[in-house]
Amino acid sequence: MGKSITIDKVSRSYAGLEALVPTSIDIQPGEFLSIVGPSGCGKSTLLRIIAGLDFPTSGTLRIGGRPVSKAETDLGFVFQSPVLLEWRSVIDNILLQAEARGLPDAEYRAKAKDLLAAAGLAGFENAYPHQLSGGMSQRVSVCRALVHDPSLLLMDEPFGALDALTRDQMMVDLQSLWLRSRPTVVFVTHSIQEAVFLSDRIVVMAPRPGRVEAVLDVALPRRRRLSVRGTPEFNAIVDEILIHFERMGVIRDDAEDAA
Amino acid sequence: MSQTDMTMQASGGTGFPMRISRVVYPLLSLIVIIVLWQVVVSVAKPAPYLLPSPGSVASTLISQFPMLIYHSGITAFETLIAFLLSIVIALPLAVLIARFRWFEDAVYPLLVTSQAVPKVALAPLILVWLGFGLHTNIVVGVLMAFFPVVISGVVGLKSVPQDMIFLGRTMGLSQAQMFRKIYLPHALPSLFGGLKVCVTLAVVGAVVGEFVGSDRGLGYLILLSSGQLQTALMFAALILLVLIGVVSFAIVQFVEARVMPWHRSQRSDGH
Ligand SMILES: Nc1ncnc2c1ncn2[C@@H]1O[C@H](COP(=O)(O)OP(=O)(O)OP(=O)(O)O)[C@@H](O)[C@H]1O
Ligand SMILES: [Mg+2]
Repeated sequence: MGKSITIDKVSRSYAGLEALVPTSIDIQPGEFLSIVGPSGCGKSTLLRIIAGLDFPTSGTLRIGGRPVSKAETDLGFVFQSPVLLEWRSVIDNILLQAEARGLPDAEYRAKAKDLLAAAGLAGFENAYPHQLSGGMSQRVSVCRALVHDPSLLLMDEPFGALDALTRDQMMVDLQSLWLRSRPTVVFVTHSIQEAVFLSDRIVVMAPRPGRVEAVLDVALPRRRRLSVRGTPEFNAIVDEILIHFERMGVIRDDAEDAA
Repeated sequence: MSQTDMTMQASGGTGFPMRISRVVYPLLSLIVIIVLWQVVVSVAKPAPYLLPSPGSVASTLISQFPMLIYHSGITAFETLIAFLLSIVIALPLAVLIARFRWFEDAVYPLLVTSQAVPKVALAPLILVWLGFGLHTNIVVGVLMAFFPVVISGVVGLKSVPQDMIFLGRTMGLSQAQMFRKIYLPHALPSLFGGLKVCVTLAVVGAVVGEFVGSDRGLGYLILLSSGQLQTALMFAALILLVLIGVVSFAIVQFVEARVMPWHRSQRSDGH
């Protein structure tokens, strides 16, 4: 089960330039929250702050009620790029999580294999990162973020490099996984459809300086099937987000697959 | 599954002929050079002290073999020790420079400036300070050879991507684990580049040391045979010197391939 995240008037400036204006978001334990917004609006910055990898210029951040003062470790982070260690095989990249935390190798090896199989990577356990395609690498990095069952999952455009079909599959799998162990998820994406399909709530952000434009509830029943994307309820939410984007004057490539 | 098998086979398939051509072509060019050399000697008939024939160099190599091997052993020994000492000195320096800003500020500019001093010109000073002996040659070797290891180490350690460091931190890796599991392996490709330069410079340094003051080693032998116009002996010594250089380079390369088979420089498919 996930922990709550309290983002309380958190802001971040780099060299005097405001990347994120004071922002407050309360995330419930076990909630699936997505962040959508145009490039440069501070999504990655916010994720890094939540993970304790970067610090707010002002404001406070609490996870499970406790202020964050150093890097969180009960956490899985999928970075915007796969960040695989090229000197380790696929399975050893994933098992670094277990190794770092002193978890039993045999048990987590089996888990890692299951995750890889679920991600369509069975048989690639002993391949090296250079033998993988971009999408495959990204799927490995998703497996790596999940293998130790973290109570908090931060994902920065994890499916960005995937083709549409694999993307759908990963979406469905992520939902199953989330329903099973209910971690708190903060999920950054450029795809509005992805956000609506997966989330309990969606934060729409605006750029320069980065700020929260709107927060939308997605009250679609779980477990959601891919076909939910054809329903009027689904499209109503997609349209609402699009209207926000239009008002901000940002039109993105991803907007067309929501049309 | 089948896809991995296929890539394995593909690289194995191209690997074999590659390896043969890697031996055959250098051998061919060597033979061409020797033949040309013989032709020049036969046609122009230079005095033997200017250019001895390949045959006379070969016979010198054979007749003076024990003596040549003794001096080669000395130079090879100096090279090895200079190489190892360079690593022992350069690695901690590289780690400290990459890790601590104040150390970088304090030491790096000095180090870089010191490299502008021609080491050959320093050798006589080292001789005055340390006196006659192998240790002086080794010190000259180290002075020549350690810097590339520092540079390549610093570059390798500093080029770890920010997200990779973040990844390690989300895993709660300690400083030591971070170094062992992320920084060091990431720096290896760059580091080995420096080690290859280092080992060739270690040979040069040892010979320079021997030139300046020594009664042993190939550098000494070259100087001696030059003074006595024994050019065939000088050629023989040069050939052994080249062999030491090539073999020590090959050893580093061999270790490199063993240590990081995953790196693209070690793959025949090259991507
Ligand atoms: N380490 C940093 N130093 C200086 N400026 C930074 C740094 N990190 C981010 N920024 C700035 O902060 C702003 C937000 O960056 P961020 O990476 O969070 O955007 P993003 O929403 O993730 O964009 P994208 O969708 O392209 O990934 C950008 O204007 C960027 O230039
Ligand atoms: Mg980003």
